[in-house]
Amino acid sequence: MEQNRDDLARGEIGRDLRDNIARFRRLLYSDINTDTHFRMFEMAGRDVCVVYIDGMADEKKISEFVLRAGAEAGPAQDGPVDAAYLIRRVLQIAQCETENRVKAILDGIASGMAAVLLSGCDDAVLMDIRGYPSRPVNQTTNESVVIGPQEGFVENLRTNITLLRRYVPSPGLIAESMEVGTRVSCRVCLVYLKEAADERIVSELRRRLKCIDAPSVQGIGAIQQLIEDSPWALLPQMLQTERPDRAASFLIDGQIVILAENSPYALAAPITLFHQLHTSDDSFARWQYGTLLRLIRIWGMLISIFLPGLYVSLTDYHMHLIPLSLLGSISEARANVPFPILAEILIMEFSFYLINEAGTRIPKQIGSALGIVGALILGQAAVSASIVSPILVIIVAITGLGNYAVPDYSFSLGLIICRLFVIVLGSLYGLYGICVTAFCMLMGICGMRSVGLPYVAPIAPQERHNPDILLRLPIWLQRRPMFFSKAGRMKPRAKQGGAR
Amino acid sequence: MKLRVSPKPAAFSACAAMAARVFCGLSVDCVSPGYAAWLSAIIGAALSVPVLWMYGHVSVVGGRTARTAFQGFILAASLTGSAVTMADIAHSAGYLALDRVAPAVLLLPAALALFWCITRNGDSIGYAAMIWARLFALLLLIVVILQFPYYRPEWLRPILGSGWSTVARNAVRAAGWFCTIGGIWIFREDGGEGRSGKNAILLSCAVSGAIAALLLALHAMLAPAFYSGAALSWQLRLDALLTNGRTPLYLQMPMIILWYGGLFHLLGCEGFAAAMLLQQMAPRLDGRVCAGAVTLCASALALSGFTGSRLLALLIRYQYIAAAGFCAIVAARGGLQTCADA
Repeated sequence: MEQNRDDLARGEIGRDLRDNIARFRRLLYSDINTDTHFRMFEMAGRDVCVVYIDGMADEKKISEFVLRAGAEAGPAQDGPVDAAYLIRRVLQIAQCETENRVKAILDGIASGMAAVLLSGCDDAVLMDIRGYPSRPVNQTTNESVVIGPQEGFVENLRTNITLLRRYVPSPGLIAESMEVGTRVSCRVCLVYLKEAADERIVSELRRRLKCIDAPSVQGIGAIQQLIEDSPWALLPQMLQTERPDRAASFLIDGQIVILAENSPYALAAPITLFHQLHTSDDSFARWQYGTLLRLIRIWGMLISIFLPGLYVSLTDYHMHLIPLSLLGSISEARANVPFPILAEILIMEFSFYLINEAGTRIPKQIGSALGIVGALILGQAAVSASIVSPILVIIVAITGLGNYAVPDYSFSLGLIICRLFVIVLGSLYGLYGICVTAFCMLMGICGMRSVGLPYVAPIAPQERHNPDILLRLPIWLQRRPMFFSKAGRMKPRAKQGGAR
Repeated sequence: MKLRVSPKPAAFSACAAMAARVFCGLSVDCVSPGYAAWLSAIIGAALSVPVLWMYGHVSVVGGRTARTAFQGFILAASLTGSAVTMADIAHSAGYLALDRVAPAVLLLPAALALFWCITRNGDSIGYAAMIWARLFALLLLIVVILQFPYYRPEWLRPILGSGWSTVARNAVRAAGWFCTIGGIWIFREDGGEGRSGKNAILLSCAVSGAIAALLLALHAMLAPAFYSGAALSWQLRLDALLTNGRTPLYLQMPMIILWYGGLFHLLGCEGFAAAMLLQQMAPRLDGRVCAGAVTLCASALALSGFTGSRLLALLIRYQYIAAAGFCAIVAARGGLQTCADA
């Protein structure tokens, strides 16, 4: 039966309207699927049938610009009545095209378009009259800024492209649409600025998107996993943002943005390690403040990775590196704690992750209660019960703050995994273990690439660059193009990584 | 997987490794470095320039046999160097905290790091060296600021330290290290060496020689008086380097990070050079296999005690002479003339 459906979906439609309707009825399961509509009527002297899915297509538009327009249209006077004639003379819809492939018509209907099938014609008219409900443009939820625009992407692809066009009002802004997913397709849009983006990088990303052979692709996160250079790496090599202004700044810098239907995020590539530490605030604030904020974030990142591991290694192995008075305080605080330091810190770390994860999933109305329970009551109780030492609570709290200072959520999760490695190696080997882990992490990030370009460029390899990568130097000095743009010198390594 | 490295990352990697090896070799690894080790580093760098310059011509025109023999020499030296560095790392870890831990357990993280590092390929090692260069400068500045009140410039006198013979002996050893670590750079990619390569050799030698000399001079200005000339144990020499008897112990952290960081970059560079040369000599071997083989061999050598043997000390003393002699023979047979004609 399923095989039979696949056969039906192949090929092109025929001239017999009844056969075509029967075919689409079977393909859309209209005997059991009550949402599908097949509306027969007469248009310009021909029998036609409009096929659409209730709720996905705009019924008002169908009534107004298809049914009424068809009823008012007289018999054809110049040439035969075919799909092209209907588009030219009858249908009052801006976006419509002729289509004869059954699969394309079926996908169109499934995505909210309406198809007009004509008797005696082997072409159908596919009309973009999508009218499904969508969320209006709202404030961003995860990338809030103090200074700067407040609106964020939504689930509607068309709205997201429009938002980008509003921020980058240039005729050179290209939005290439394509479908990914072999069974359930997802509409994806590759957006770039023609005069800024390097064509080789655009081609590479286009190739990767077209090579995706997953049966279904659920949004931008899945696309990222399918086209990244190093899927085994802990850190993401593409950046997700929910801010149109940030995506627009990527486009202007020569990066490429990928949007997908039903994803309120944009995926930017190529990126570097340093892009993960940028926020929109940096660009809107004066350069001194932007630089300070970036330094704070870098510091936060380092604290997040190394502080708990350093605490473990110093207190376990290198007590001579702790000033005597502090060592006394630590020893005193730990006197009644029955666990070794590694167990103590792992208990606290996992408690912190637990509170964090619960806080993310919990309804907002009781979120503040969880904060109070987690942070105050549990922490205080753990110290009073001598399960952990007070100094460790401080260490874990500072580490958590450092992690929150990192703007990118995926990146901060990667840092948490790195931190666990540092803690374990630090507890086994002391500073030696921490240095080994740091060296391996350095090697790892130096070996990573984003769309074929080095992840730690322009620091390594050293490239002349716009001074808005590591620090945020004055805006009038930011004249040099980014190294990954069309005007930049660096070229991607051919066919690295790719679609899976 | 093909092991390769581009010119610029190779130069950075070699530079970081040369500086670390010469500093390490003339301070902690040297039984009697004397106060003039900094002078030996400079002279060693100068001595190595003509040999490194001739390397390129050997690889280009020396014929297949000469080239293979030379690759074998550099491979052996790099492998031994990796083993020495691994042993140094294990000794350091043992000294700093883990004195009751078995050597094999201490070597394990270094061996895993070496394997991981080689499989990331040459460019990653070079990029890491570029980042390390910046961190190194920052850490060194912090160390100098912390230890500034304790430096004794008068301890650099007399300039020749224990005398000409010690300076010359150490200079030849330093030149040997420069020449062997230069292998990564000479035999990179297809073994060819362009015009820019020669300039980069000179620059790498000059920079790494200067850095090593600076570090050795700073070390000499801090070392306790008994350090000069006396035959001390490895642990005591490391202790003298890290604590030097005067600066507070809790200020050691930047020094320890500098020490480990330098050793790990040295290990990565030497290990990668060995693996790359192994693959060049046996092209059918996959890069990961070469990385595994080098890691195993270096670990075995480090565990065997060979790294602390008199034989190795003797070989290191004469590796510069061997390299220079080899190049001289090739030159005498007309190799260099042919290259100049070409």
